[in-house]
Amino acid sequence: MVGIGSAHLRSDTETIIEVNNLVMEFPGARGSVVQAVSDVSFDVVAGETLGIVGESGCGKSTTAKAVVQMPDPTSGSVRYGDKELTTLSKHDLRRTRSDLQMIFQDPVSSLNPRRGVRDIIREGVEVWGTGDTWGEDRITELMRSVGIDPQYGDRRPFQFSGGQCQRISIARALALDPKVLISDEPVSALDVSVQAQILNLLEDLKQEHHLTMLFISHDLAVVRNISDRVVVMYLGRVAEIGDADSIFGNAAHPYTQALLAAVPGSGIEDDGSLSGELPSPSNPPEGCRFHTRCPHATEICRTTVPEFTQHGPDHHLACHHPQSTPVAIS
Amino acid sequence: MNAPLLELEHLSITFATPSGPVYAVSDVSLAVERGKSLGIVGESGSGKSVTMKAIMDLLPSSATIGGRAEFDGEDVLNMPSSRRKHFYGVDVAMVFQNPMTSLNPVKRIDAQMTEGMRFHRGLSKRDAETRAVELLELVRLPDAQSRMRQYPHELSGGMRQRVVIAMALANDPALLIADEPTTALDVTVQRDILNLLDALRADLNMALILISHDLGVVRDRTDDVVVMYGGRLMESAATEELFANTQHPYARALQMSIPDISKPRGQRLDPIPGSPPDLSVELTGCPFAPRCTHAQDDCSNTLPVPTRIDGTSHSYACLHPLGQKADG
Repeated sequence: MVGIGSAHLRSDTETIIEVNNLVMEFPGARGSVVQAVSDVSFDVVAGETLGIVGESGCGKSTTAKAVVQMPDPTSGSVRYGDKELTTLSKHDLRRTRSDLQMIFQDPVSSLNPRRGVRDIIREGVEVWGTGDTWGEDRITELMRSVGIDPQYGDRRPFQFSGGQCQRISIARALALDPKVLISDEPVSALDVSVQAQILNLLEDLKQEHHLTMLFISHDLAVVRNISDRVVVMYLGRVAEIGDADSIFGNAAHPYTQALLAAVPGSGIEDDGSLSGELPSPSNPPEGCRFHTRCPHATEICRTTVPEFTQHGPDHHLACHHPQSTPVAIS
Repeated sequence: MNAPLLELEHLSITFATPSGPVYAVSDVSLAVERGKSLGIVGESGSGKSVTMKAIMDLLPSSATIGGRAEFDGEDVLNMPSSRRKHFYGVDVAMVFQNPMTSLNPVKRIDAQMTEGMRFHRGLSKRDAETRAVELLELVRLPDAQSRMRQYPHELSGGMRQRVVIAMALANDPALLIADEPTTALDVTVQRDILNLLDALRADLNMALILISHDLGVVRDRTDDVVVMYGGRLMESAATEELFANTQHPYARALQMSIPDISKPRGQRLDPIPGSPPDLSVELTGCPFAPRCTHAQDDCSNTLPVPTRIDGTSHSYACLHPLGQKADG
């Protein structure tokens, strides 16, 4: 799985982000190289929410961070609008990044504990010097739009709950009027009742601010709820990509099928194929990286990296043996 | 019905803090039988972990415990220390959420695995090591023999949790308490670990208490379930019954707030409005009343007592239950 090629890119559509052949490598122990992301390509249309799913270590967070060049990719290209981010000067990159804002998993640790809420939200604007058009009213408005009572503007993060801190993070991200919001497991640390509040809030703000979203989560139900399109990653490569309803309703990649079967209450018979450990990303299997755990693997899977093939109108997968009996959550 | 292995009656736990008492757990009664599994569901601050920590004698000295807890007829809360040191680790064992914090990072797996067995059972080093390898094989840790000489950081999260479970099983506990044992793990690993706990419970005739915030996990895996909120029991029943015939608005709201993976995108979620209750205030009414869409005037000043549905073990603490099948 985990394929190469660009058949799944939508060349005929106007895209706001296009990532091509992205590679991220990090130095590992004893001179090894951790291949966190290997040859990943995808694109995002303005106003779309792209969900990225996979197990820990599959490279989903690294991919999202590579979009904002944190850190610079080892190779590959990342186009945002008409800008190629990988070749942009430091100065221009910093200017561009205000369009691409992130929110993170742990809302408490991503806020400065010593500052008041208003200061936290204001900081980005102060740095970028667009303060003329930007008054205290705008902060009040932002706080209100994320559901934090503006009268608590002087309080510090520890005086808020986790859910409220995530709301403050979202207000801070929106202060610079971004075009793209990258959310890395934004609801994973929250209680389920609060998780639903934040998911609804993100959906509302997305409409209101015309945002494009990259949404990373290990929780498939959450991804299904929020995503228009979904990328399933395994060990640094893309396994399956396409329209969310098609991926969840008609998954054909053995890895996606196994992932869906593992969701508690999915009602899918568990064939146990995903038992066992994820191979090490510093020494990934040859050929299809999933072949060591795949029940359908054959000789070709051990030697040849699969290329993307089309499986539906907006549904591609990289697999030598796509499963004809789709697994569908019902 | 068999006699329960563990039975809590009107357990309450209060913490003394500089700003006054915190009523973490109030009037909780529950029971689990040998060989059965009980799920405890609730959000942060619901008291689910604190309740189990009271059983395990893991609460700080600022805690005051009221009520009764009996294990096989024995009073757990007032146990002499000579009995206590073999109660924990032999009769009852506990597995926590984060396996890394349960393991000592500077000791090899073999030293950690054998410590409890040598202390409680007086096994020789060699016998304890043999047993440790057997246990690691029982929890299906690959290459059990060579893992013995490794340090925790050399194992993945799933492998570490298997080691922790193996350690908990070392002395054949009659009751295993697992506090969010899979929350830090991937869904695929989660399924393996839950399958393992299930199989061990059946094979060893062990009682299992599974604490989780994830209704999906509990729904698939337990015989009975209790739902806690604000330190109190909201509803308890046989697991199938609770999900099929939910009576408490909180238990229902919890189910409704979870995205349904079978529904297409864009479904609007039904979050529970507001925030969890302030436990430093002694409640006069239902703790869920301020967030409850079914609340009426009496909810804020009358403490609901648990009501049992006739002929079942299903009970709920609500003045205005959802009704439906129960009425018909």
